[in-house]
Amino acid sequence: MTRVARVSLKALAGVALLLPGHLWAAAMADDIRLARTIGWREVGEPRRLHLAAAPPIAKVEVRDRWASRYEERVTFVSGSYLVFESTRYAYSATVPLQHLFYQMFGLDEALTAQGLQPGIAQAAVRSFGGRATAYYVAQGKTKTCFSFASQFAAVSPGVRDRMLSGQDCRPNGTISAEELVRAWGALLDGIQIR
Amino acid sequence: MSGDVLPGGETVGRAAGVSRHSELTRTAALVVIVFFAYFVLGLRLAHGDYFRANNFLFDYDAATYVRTLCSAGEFIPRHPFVGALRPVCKAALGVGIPLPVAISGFFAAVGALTVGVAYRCFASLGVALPERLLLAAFLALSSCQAINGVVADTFGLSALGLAALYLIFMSRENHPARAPVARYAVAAYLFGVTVTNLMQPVVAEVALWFGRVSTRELVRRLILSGVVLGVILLAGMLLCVPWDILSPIDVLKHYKGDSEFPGPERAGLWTIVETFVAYAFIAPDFTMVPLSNGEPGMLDFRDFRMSGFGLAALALWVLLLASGIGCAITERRQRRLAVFLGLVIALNLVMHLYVQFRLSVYIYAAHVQIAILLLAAFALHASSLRRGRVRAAVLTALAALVLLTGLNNIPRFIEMARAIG
Repeated sequence: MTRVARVSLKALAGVALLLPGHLWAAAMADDIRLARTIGWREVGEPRRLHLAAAPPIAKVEVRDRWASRYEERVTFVSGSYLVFESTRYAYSATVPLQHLFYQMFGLDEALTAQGLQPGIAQAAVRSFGGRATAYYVAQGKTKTCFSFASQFAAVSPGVRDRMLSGQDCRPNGTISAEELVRAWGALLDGIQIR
Repeated sequence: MSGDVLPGGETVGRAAGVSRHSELTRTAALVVIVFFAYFVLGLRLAHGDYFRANNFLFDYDAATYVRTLCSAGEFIPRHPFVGALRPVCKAALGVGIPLPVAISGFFAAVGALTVGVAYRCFASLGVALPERLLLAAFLALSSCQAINGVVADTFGLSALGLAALYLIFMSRENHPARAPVARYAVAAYLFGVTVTNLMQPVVAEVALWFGRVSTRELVRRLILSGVVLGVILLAGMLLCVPWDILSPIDVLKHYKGDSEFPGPERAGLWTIVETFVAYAFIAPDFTMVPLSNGEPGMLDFRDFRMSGFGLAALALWVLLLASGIGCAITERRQRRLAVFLGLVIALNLVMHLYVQFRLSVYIYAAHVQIAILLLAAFALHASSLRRGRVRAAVLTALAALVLLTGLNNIPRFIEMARAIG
């Protein structure tokens, strides 16, 4: 056995000796947070999104401290939300919109809570405001939910580097799936991005 | 200094002692240089939000492993002994080293040691000094190895154990009874950092003993080794599993759950080969991958978008690898090593057709990267035995590969370190 192999063995033996140390390792404060909560800050008005006909807005937040992206989230009074993302790096050119929708909403907590788990093929694709959009609308246990995702290029033709996504879940009986699609269609048609 | 000089520049005889000392110095210098490079990059990454959350980069679970290594942590069934490394981080924190420095230093050290052990593997394979230094530089600059020297997850730890496994394999190739303790230590370590990596030491045993003993004896040895290793792993589990929280049934349920990879998204064989062979070495442009439930998008290497330097480096790398595979097939002296490396690469490719999550296959490249590089090193071993123009041409091409890889990858690493704050 070479000298280095012997050293490796000793190092590994040292690691093995650390096992008992596991028993005395004490707890320390845990300041790890979920990524989804990090970096958002509230601003007064939407900065990049121009909403021609929007329902009442509860709050607008932006996440602008990371060099790799800019995000803007508009939460409406109804609890529904709309997120715009502008990224420095392109989204995958090989992922079709329906697949993108699955990545974002296939295991969505709000949909799962309603007993809804959309597969890739279950998202419909349609153009809203000139942007190809994959969306899914379905009635769950207590709510009817509309979810969507759209990726497009800042400058056409170009790589996809902008994204709009969002979700609206309303109590069953207050709005039909068709009406929900129409309402969001009107909203998305009126969105302009600065 | 006297002594015979082999065509590859290695010395034997009286000069061998001096040579071994020099070699140890070179290995140590290499490790120190790589450590500082990775450490600086890791500190820049830690300056932002990277270590505070999971999945910012390549589906690595940075926050989970920072917590597991440096705080009360949690038991992760796929990586059952990782918590045993907690005292290292605790000790660093105990002497006043800040958490980002401790965690960056830890993974930089693991990454640098991996490069050092891989360098010794190249030497054991018979790759001459200039070639093996360049090959170690290529590994250190390669996207997968450098990123694993910076990010917090178990993949860097796996790469270190796998490099040690290959080094021990080479020392046993002609004397398989050697290293009776080291083989179990490495197997236990590999299982402890990622359970699926236990496959590689098992394949190593088969490759080392196959054809040397009867089939019956081979099976007997494997069963006996399995029992010994099983006892070691059981002892490790007894120490590492928080039995007050998890019953044995719960632990088994975790493994069952972890073995199920749901969802209709699956990366195919070509994507995995492309990722393991190309992107693990030469970084393409980043791809932003949207995630669910409000998680910020993840940066990954998924699309073939290369810079000019990257394309040139990739062409040289594919040429080197193809030559290495050709030499490995025709090489007789180290046929067992070639077969072993081929098997572990093939088995990992098959395994990751099933073991994958949301198309994130880049992270698994660490499980085969050094095996792939060792296959390429067969070509350098062959050229080390030659003199004249052929060797000069190979050395020039290898130097160009290292230069182009650095020109392509270093900007990616800097972008990565700045991406999250």
